[in-house]
Amino acid sequence: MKVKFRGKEYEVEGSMRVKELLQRFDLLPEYALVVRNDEILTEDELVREDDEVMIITAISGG
Amino acid sequence: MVKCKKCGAKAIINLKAFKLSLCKDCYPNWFEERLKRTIRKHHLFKDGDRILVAVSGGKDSLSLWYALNRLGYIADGLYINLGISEGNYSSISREKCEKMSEKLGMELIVVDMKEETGLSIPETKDLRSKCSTCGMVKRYFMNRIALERGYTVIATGHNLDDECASLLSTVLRWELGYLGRQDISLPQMEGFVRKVKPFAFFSEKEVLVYALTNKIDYIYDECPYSRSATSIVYKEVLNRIENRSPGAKLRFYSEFLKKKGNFEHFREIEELKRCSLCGQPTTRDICAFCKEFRVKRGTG
Repeated sequence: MKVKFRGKEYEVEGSMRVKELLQRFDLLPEYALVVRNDEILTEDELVREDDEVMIITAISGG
Repeated sequence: MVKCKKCGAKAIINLKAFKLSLCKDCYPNWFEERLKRTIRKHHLFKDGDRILVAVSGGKDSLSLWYALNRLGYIADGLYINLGISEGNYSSISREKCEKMSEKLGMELIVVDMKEETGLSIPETKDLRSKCSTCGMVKRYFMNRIALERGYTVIATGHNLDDECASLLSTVLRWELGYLGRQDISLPQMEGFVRKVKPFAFFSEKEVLVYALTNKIDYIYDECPYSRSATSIVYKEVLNRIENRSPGAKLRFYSEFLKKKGNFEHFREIEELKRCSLCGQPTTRDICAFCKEFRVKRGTG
């Protein structure tokens, strides 16, 4: 699958749950979410090999 | 598929702290109802208040401006242009605020730091840290503009993660005086306009989901100077705890507010005077803002 994260695009192999995808990027569902076709996915949803998704994080500093 | 607890549609968020899953249509209503209750419970706004929302172009402040409008509050925005050119950060964030101003039909007041002080944030090399200077500049202009324009309350987009990170930072240093000061609402005092944080009980993710479900156009990029901020480390730690123990952040903050009276007597009550250069309230003869931008630069 194609994963957009912080302005970069990554290729991730296989299908997996949202929480597993977040783990791959060392993120937690407490502050990060996955969007597919403008739809926010819950952490138990499956993202498939041919999906294009975007990871958005909520944490800001300052 | 996780279903919305209210209508049975496909859920977009699972709020573990509340044992509640909601869909894209029910979530904004839940958020706004909770915001309404927070405002009422903590008496954040009074009848006849003139509200000024401090907006940065980020998800929190723009969502706050939008949500207050949805709840029927008349609120203008204040944007402080810090002159951060890296990644066009300031120009993009200003554009986002202008778009929201147009969408809501509310005034956006813009203050230009460079015009006012002769320096932008990137040019403040010899001053204190960038984040500390930025905080001081924002506090100064928020208060001054609100007073000059007759606003009675300043609303900021601080969320639960901001408040918990600040609380953790204070506890790690046992700065008891600060514990007595932190609150969801900072009262009006001689020369200081009241400040409120209506999002203080909403996690950063809850605000993000509100922004996304309402298609709020915010600046996605972080301020280039805040990437290494210590507050981010504190937030990550707190979210690890939240992951193991849902509701931990909410308990940490709300229990603190209930018990903060125990720390009140550690507050040092210093007498406020007027800055001899600008007239803003300060505990010294010259306020921190004038000291940095006028005295040190020899323009005072």
